Amino acid sequence: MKKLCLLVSAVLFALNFSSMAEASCGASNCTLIRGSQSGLASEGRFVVDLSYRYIRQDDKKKGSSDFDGNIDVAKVEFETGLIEPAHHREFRTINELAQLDISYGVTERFTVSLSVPFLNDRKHEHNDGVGGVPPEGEFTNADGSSGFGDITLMAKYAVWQTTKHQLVAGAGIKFATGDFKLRNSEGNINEPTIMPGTGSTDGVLSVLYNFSFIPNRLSFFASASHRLTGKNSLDYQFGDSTFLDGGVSYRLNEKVSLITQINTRISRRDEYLGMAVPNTGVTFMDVTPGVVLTASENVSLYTHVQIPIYQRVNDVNIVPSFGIMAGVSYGF
Amino acid sequence: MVFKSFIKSRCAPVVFLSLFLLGMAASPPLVGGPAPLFQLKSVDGEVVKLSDLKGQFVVLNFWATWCVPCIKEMPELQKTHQSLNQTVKIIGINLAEPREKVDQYTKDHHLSFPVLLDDYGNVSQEYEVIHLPVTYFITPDGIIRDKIFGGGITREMIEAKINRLM
Repeated sequence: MKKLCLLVSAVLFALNFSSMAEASCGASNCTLIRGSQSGLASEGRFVVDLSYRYIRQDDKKKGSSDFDGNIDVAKVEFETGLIEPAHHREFRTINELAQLDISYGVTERFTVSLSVPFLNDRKHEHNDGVGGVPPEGEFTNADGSSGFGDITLMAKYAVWQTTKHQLVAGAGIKFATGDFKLRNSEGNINEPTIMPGTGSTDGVLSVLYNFSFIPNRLSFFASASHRLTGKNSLDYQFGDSTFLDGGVSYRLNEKVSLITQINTRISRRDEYLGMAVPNTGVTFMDVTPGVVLTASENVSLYTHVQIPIYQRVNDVNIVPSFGIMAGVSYGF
Repeated sequence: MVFKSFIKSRCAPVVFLSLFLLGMAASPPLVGGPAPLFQLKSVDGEVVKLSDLKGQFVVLNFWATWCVPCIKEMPELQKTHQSLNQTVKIIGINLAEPREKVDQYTKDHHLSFPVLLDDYGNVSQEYEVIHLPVTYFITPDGIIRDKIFGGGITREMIEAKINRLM
């Protein structure tokens, strides 16, 4: 019950990593923020970033502990306005997400970006109807979902920018462009957290500080962002999420940069008709090492692996065992 | 009580972020003020102090080998150095690149003006360099009188600026 959180995380994660092709120079000057996590594009330049993420959720958690028991989770019955606890037994969800990020440098300090998650594909395996006949429910893998996700529009401004220091503030809106009323194999509205979209319009605020210990070679960053969620037309509201990230980037040579981050996400419980939804709300911390290859002056390729180091869920749930991300970034 | 409920409210992050950003003060402009003093090693290992150049007209050019607009103007700086060596000191400050790489570049391109190594970008930070190249014009009294941001400078441009400022 946290696939949506994964999507949100993935969007912000991609925003962090966009602008990798910023390494190139404009006609008259080169920016020193290249290789940073700021997500700023040079004035008059576009950066187009295409990324793919694979996240496998099959580890079991009860609170923050590993759990050998059954992961029986609640279902929101939109048709009756009820939450049915321990409705189905989760086994596994394979998330495959593809996203296009387009950034444009309006000025040297101000960038607007659009994140388009054009494919959110989730293969979901669970036993449906736990507690019925038979009591362990019936296995199904037909309740996954696939579709267009929610578009996010962000504006970022470098409040403070020097050779070694950079402070970037951002604000944005996530629009309800994705499907959020898809039906499951029984014809009911599917779990909200497995939908491509949330159906709500959300606000996003972010702040990032980057310190270049050796400009253009070794830098550290810390960032925080917060998502203020709205309620969708089904009266379902995903919990607000806070993202805290920190990392180091080292440019090994002209072609290769190494990046390692710690990514933390804290999501509150979801609510339906004012009721707290069981099994929602998480705290995740991952370490994310990655490599960026500068293929040419305008093109870079990157890949990252996300490895969980701390995971806490409310009640019980399945959590990611790992995630991988790969992408290509083109600046012009 | 009110404070506690505010802290727990959903607008608290917005208010804190706004206050934080408002607190960021802009630094005063460098042009018109004294040039920040520095001491750096050249690619040849020689220590160069800006204070030792007081009384001379100094042209400070911040650059890097990966910066295409920077390397395009290097021949112009070299020509200026050759023609005005008696009256004007041309100094290149390389931003945080390995000494061997810069040394190779200066040899390959026959640069004879001093090229200094700003290993950690601290001098660039003092000179508020956020893009490369940038060129500062420092009059003999140690005051920054002008700067050219971005590449494309020529010997004629530099000479015209020096003549105007002298």
